[in-house]
Order: sequence, then C-alpha cells, then structure tokens
Amino acid sequence: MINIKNLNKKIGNFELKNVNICVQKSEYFVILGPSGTGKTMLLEIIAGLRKINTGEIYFSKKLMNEIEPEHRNVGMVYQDYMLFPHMTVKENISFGAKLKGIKNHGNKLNKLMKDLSIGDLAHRSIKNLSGGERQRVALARTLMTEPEILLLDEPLSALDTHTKAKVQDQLRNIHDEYEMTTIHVTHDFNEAIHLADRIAIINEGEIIQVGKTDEIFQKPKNAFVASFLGSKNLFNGKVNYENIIQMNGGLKISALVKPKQAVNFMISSENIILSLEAIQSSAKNSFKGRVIGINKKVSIVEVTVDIGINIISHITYSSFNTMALEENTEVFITFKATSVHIF
Amino acid sequence: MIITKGDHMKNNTFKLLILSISIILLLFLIVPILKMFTHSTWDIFYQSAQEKEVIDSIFLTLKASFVATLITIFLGIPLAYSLSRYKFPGKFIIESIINIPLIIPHTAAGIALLTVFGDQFIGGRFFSYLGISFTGNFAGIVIAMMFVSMPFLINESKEGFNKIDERYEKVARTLGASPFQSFFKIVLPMNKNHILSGALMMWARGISEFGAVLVLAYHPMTAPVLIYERFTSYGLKYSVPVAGIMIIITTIVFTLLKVIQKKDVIDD
Repeated sequence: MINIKNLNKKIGNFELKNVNICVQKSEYFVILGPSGTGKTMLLEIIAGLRKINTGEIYFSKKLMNEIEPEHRNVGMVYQDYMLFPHMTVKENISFGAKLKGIKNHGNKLNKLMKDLSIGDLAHRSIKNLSGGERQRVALARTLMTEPEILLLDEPLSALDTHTKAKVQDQLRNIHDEYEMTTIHVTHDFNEAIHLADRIAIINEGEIIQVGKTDEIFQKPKNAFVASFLGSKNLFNGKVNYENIIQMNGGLKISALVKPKQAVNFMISSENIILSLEAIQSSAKNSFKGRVIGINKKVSIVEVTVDIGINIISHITYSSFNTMALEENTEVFITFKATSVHIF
Repeated sequence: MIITKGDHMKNNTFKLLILSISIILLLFLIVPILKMFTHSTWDIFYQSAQEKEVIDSIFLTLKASFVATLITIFLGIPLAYSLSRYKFPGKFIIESIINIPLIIPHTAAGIALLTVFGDQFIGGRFFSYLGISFTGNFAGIVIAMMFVSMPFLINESKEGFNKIDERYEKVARTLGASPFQSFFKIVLPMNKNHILSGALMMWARGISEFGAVLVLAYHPMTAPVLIYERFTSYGLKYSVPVAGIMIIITTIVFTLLKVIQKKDVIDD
C-alpha cells in the first residue's frame, strides 16, 4: 500500500537517511523512536506536506512524490490535535468533508459523532473540551474525509494515563472497523506493543529495524533497539574461541557465536533462572552470585545478582516469597546458551 | 517565615513610592488634555463643531486614513504573512525597513514620498497618465498617511500569523484544502483580531498624521493641518476645539481597540 524507497531528506543539521518502509494495506504500523529522530517529519513527508530530496513514495504502485497533500487522500492527526479554534466542534468535523464534497456527509457526521461519543458536543466551542474530547474530535474530522491512510503523530502523548488506555483501544477499534492503513508515530513502546501489527524502530533519521512486535522484542537488531525497548542485561565482550564470550574480569559465557573481537549481547531477564542451590540441567551457563538489588514492580520482582557482572532476573512474587530473598543472599543464576541474543 | 510589622511597613513604603511616581507621569499626560477642554468655552466648542470647514476636515481625515488602511490591508497582509512564514536571506533587513516610518521625522517621510510621487517625478508621471495626482489632493493625503502608519498594521498582523501554528494549515491541507483555501478559511479568520487591531492602530495613527500630510497636501486640509493653521493664524483659543474633537474621536478608536484585543481567539 505505502512503499517508501531510498528516501532522503535534509533540513539544517537533521537528516532522514535512506529510509525504506513498506506498509501493507489495512496494517497498523507503528514507527517507534526517541523524540527528535525524524518521526513527525516522516509522517509529513508521507502526507505530502514536505518535499523530499531524493527517493520515491508510492501509494498502491502510484508514484506520489509530486502530488499535493489535498490530493493524497491521507488523514493526519497531530499530537495537539490542531482543532480550528474559530469553529465549533461540528464545523471542525465537517470542514474537510465539505471541501472534498463527501456525499451524504450529514449522516456520516452523525454516525461518527455517535460512534466516538461526541454527539453532545456538536455546537460547543472547542475551547472548553477536555484532552480526550479534542482527540476524538480531531479523529472524527479526519475520518469524515474517508482517507485511505491515517497518519497519527503521537496521538496519545497529551492524554492522562486513564484516558490514554481508553483512546488506545478506540484507535485500534477504529482501525479494525474502517480497515484503514494506519501509521502511528510514538516514543512509547507500550503503545507500540498494544497497537502495532508491525513496528519500525527509528533513531537519528535512520530506520534501524522493522518487524512484528514480538520479533523486535525478542531479537532486537542492536543495543540501541534493545535498550530503547527497555531490555535489561545488555553486555559486551569478545569471542576468542567459538561459542565462548570472554568478559572483562574473566567471566565466560556460553553462547552460539563465532570468534570476533567485540560482541554485544543481551540475555532476556525472563530467561534467567534464579535458584538457591546449583541445578543440574542442560543449560550451559550456571553461576554463583549474590543478590545486590531487589526492585518490586507491579507483577514481578526484578532481582539484580552480582556474578562478576550485574545480571537482572525477573521472578514472580510467589517465587520471591518462597525463596525469602534478601540483599546478600547467595543464589545461582542459570540460562541456556541459546538465550544469549547476539547483536 | 514570620512576617513582622517591619516587613509590612517596608511593603507599604514600596507601594506608596511606586504609586506616587506613577501618578507624576499620568498627571503629565492627563492634565494638558483636560486643561484643553476647559481652556475653551463650550460656546466656541459648539460653534466649531458646526463649522463646515471643521466638519469637512474631520471627515476628510477619517476617510483618507480609512482608505489608506484598506489599501494596506490588501497589500500588507500578504507581506505580513510572507514575513511570518517564509525564510529568505535579508529578511531581518526587510523587517527593519518596514519600521523606518516609525523612526524618521514625518516631514522627511513626506519629502521622500514627494521625490517619487511628485508630479515631475517618475511615480508621479506614471500615475498622472492614469489621471491621478498625489500633490495637494485626497490621493496625496492617503499615501502620506499610508506610508507613516502602515508599520502598525503589518507588524500586528505578522505577530498574529506568528502565533498561529503552521500545523493548522498542514491539517487543513490534508483535509482537502488548497493553499488558498487554507489561507482564507483557516489562517485569515484565526488572525482576524490581530488584523483588526492592527488596522485600528493604523487608522488612528493615520488620523493623527501631520508632517507627511503637510508636505504632500496642505490642501484639502485634514484636521491636524487645520489645528495647526488655526493656531498659527488665530491663536490658541480657536485651535483648541478642533484639537479636542480629534482627541475624543481617537480615544473612542482606542477603546474599541482594547475591546478587540481582549477577545483574541489565538491567545486562549
């Protein structure tokens, strides 16, 4: 549906470098990355609001580079909604539909306002709407124009946690109902996990990795992706002999790896077994260490163990209580060689 | 913190001092204006207000400044918009040039205009083909007023445009608006109050213009020129009523201005 090939765009010191993205029809595609990495710029390029230096943008095989935004059939919702302050809610929502000459727009308007539960707001001025209401009005305004592609620029970041969860579900429902190809830009990976069919990770103007949500979380392409997704246990070492990572300080970790000078790797906290006694198993890595940190989260406990390196294991509250862990408790850490993810 | 009596005393002394100093300047402003109204008798005031020459000059002034403002709305809003939205080399120089009329003596502005629009110069000759002359007539008054007072309208409109996030226009474009539609349906209405208050400021400034108008068109006489002429020919007593009427009119304009500025949609 949307195919971006070798896109380059430079503004001042900032640059989008050789961006290649392919978004399928009706897909919910999330572009995830820290602030100031060119996410909004990319959306504006897709919408036709910015010209590019080099590259091609296709919508369903049609080259769009020179097509003006009003002819692209793309809807854009900005972070702070940009509702027109000199119009009522209803005038805002019907603005685009009137311009585009959408048939039957009165009925559509009523249905949309009902679906998004903003029917009561029709004649209100937008000045005294809440954040969530503004959000829905902005969405309705865009949906009224029946866009093929919906572009969402940090649509949830201005909302409080409670509203956010509701609107998040609503976004996914709207997407599913209208089967609209959606590109959603955010810096919040929880949003991405919740909503995305596929995720693209962007940093400093470059797309680092594109993939299904679980793929990206389980196999981050590099240390940036891993740390941005909140992964713990990121280390580096060198490999002198096949399948053995040598760490500074002498610790040796078994992994599936060919010899190389420097290697970055990650051990997912969920894959690390914590025990009070050494366990006999097929797992190649087993180390004795000491608990140096206990961090209680909502559903799990994050235990940091010093085995020469500080390694974090996630365990359940019931295990935590059974094991009666405290700081300085002597414990064993066990994980398989295949749990070591090499970048 | 414990607030002692001493602290209260200090606070009060400060307040007293600040207010006293403020009052000095306010009196300097208000007393001459009030004095002017009491200087003349109501009789003369009333008589002046009925004189044809006075009434004509006041209407001429209001009308000329109004026309100057209308022309500047038409030509100045695109300029203000360009300055707000586009980046180009030498932009800050253009912004300074726009403010030149505010800082040069207005008689000098009149002379400068004369060198272009005077009957024997290029601009003047061009317009004389079209049957328009700029010296000693209404058109001359209009361009004199326009030249000296347009910075108010341009600057105020530009400020307004600056306050409007460009993304409003971008959203409008994705909703199907052409650049013209997004300008006329979104940006212009959103900037309505700034343009209106800029126009009122310009109008008021145009009404009070003396120097440039004097150079280009002593006749037909605008109110400020009439005040000057009455003062030099007949003395204080006869110039005061016309001056008083002008002050009343401009005060009304500025009160209107304040009301509009309070209602700014963009600021909310």
